[in-house]
Amino acid sequence: MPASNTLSAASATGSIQPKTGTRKPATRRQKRDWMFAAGFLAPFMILLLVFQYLPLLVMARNSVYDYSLLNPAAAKFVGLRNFTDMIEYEDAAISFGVTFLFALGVVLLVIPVAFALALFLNSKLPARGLVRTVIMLPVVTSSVVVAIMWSFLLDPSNGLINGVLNIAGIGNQPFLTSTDQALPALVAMTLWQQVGFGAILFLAGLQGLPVELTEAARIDGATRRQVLWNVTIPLLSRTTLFVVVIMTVFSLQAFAPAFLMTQGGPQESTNLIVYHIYNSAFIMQQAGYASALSVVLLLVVLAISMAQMALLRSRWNY
Amino acid sequence: MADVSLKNVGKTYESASTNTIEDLNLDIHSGEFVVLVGPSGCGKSTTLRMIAGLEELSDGQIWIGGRRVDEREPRERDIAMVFQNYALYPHMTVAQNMSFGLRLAGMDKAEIRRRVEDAAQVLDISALLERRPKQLSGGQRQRVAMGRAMVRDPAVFLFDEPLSNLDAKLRGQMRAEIRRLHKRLSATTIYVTHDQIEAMTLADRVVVLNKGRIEQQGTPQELYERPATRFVAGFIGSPTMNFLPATVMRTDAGVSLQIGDVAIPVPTARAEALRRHVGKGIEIGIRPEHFLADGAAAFITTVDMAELLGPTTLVHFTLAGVACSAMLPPELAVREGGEQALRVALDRISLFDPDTGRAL
Repeated sequence: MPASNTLSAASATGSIQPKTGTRKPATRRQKRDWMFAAGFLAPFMILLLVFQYLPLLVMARNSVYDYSLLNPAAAKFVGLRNFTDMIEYEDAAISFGVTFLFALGVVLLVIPVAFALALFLNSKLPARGLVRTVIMLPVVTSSVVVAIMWSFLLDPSNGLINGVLNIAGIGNQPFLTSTDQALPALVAMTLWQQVGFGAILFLAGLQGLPVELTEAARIDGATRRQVLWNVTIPLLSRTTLFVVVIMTVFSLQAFAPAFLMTQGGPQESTNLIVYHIYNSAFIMQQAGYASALSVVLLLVVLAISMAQMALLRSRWNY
Repeated sequence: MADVSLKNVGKTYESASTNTIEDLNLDIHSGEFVVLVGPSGCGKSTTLRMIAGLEELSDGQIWIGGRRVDEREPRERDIAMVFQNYALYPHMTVAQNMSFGLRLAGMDKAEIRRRVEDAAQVLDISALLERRPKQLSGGQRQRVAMGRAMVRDPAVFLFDEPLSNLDAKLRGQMRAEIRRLHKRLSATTIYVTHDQIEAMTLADRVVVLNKGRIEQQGTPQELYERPATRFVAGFIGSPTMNFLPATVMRTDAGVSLQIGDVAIPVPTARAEALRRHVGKGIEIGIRPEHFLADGAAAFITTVDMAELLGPTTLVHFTLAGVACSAMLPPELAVREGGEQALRVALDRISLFDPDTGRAL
């Protein structure tokens, strides 16, 4: 049988032939496989294009226009002025600064607390199941509900937290109305909300570790603390990195706390970037400038994701 | 070097309906190479892990070097262990893997380096010291795991099926190497395997475990030639022993064993033990190499299949309705479907009580 007539395993599964020699015409079976594949992929691809990539393109285009949402037809091409405005005026720098500080605070607190919780959940201690449910509850609760609940908790005069502080002999704290305390308060709330998710990720990492490695370390003479420090933590570096990236991206995209609890104040101390974008587009009616801010945020998140992919590339396996 | 003693050791898992290990008593002498062997689930790895301190005992005591250790942490037992999948720390180099225990012990850096280099030289891995485990072959990883155990100069070496992930050729090489290392270090070694060839070739003493109990212990030779039970007889030896149902018959000359329509006279030395079984059924165990084709025929059989293995030919045939195998010299012209005259080396057969499985 001539080679051109044989149906290889590769062609039978619809894979693309390597570009060597003349390209063979697709067989009927290949064509049918492609049709099937396209049929299954189409709904998702269409949704992705229409609701993800198309808005991104529109946003990128809008970033070089000056226009208001009230009258989009009057849009005026301004080139890179929206971007130069970001440098010229302080609002973008302040907002990005606040957002990075917020992300830093969330990451620095979530990582150790989530890791400690994961260690607890991975142990044979009682009430693990209950704790697992309790720490996952905030994760599955709506951000709006959480923000409103925390607004009550942090209320300067009648809040539960101030009540507890009063019992401890500490006077009422302003929390959300203080430039020093508002951002830490939002960080604390986000920690409370996200720590369960971080713990579940760490728990998955812990449960994926080969038990022989910790056993080998124990036999090698390591105490439990030394096993944790020399074996468990280094081996969880990829999980840790993943949690860092996820928490950073979550924090960069945070909107509800600033919108519902502080409206970006006091004195822009909680003016998170997504809230600032919202404010620029819908309150200040500077949709072009908001688009430019969104483009920069997109690039920052993209850069973090790419750094994640580079760092997550395996240096060693177990 | 240290003695190891297991006293009435028992292990019960909550999920198991029966005891995994029951009343296990075992004394291992200083410098001895003991192999725990048995089928999957017999409790050999659990026993080793209890000695290592990785499993808690449900009952009994473990003593190492005259100290009771069963309530001590693994690090307090002066042991080193080589795991089945090597358990090398993937984020450390070979040198770091080997020196990990020494660094934890706060040993002087120069002494650590000397020990690592010495062990690496003995194991022929000096060129690999800066590599990570991922960059090593299975055999090299195995050597590193052994090196990690060696540098600590422990009182007892524990091996948990260390060769089962290697291919047959490498397994043979590493077997010889482990034996050589033991001779060199003379350390007390407890080695777990399900491979009876490893057990036979490595051990000073083999302990056969079955369902959490010691079935028999002794030198490899003793176990092979004088199995105490049908289980041991069937487990030790490859190809496995042939088991045939037989009836003990009294004859004018003494006692004979009737296997189907073949009558095999029992040597006088064994006849006495069989007199009280006259008229009863027993089980006769014949190793494949104890079927002889030297012209003195006891029976003639039809060859079902002949496998030429090189130094020997494995001949399959049916005797008294039981599939049997015999190892015959390769120069013998055995033909599949042809007839073959065989006799049994009567002084080498094993006899078992079919009810208890114990040797008669």
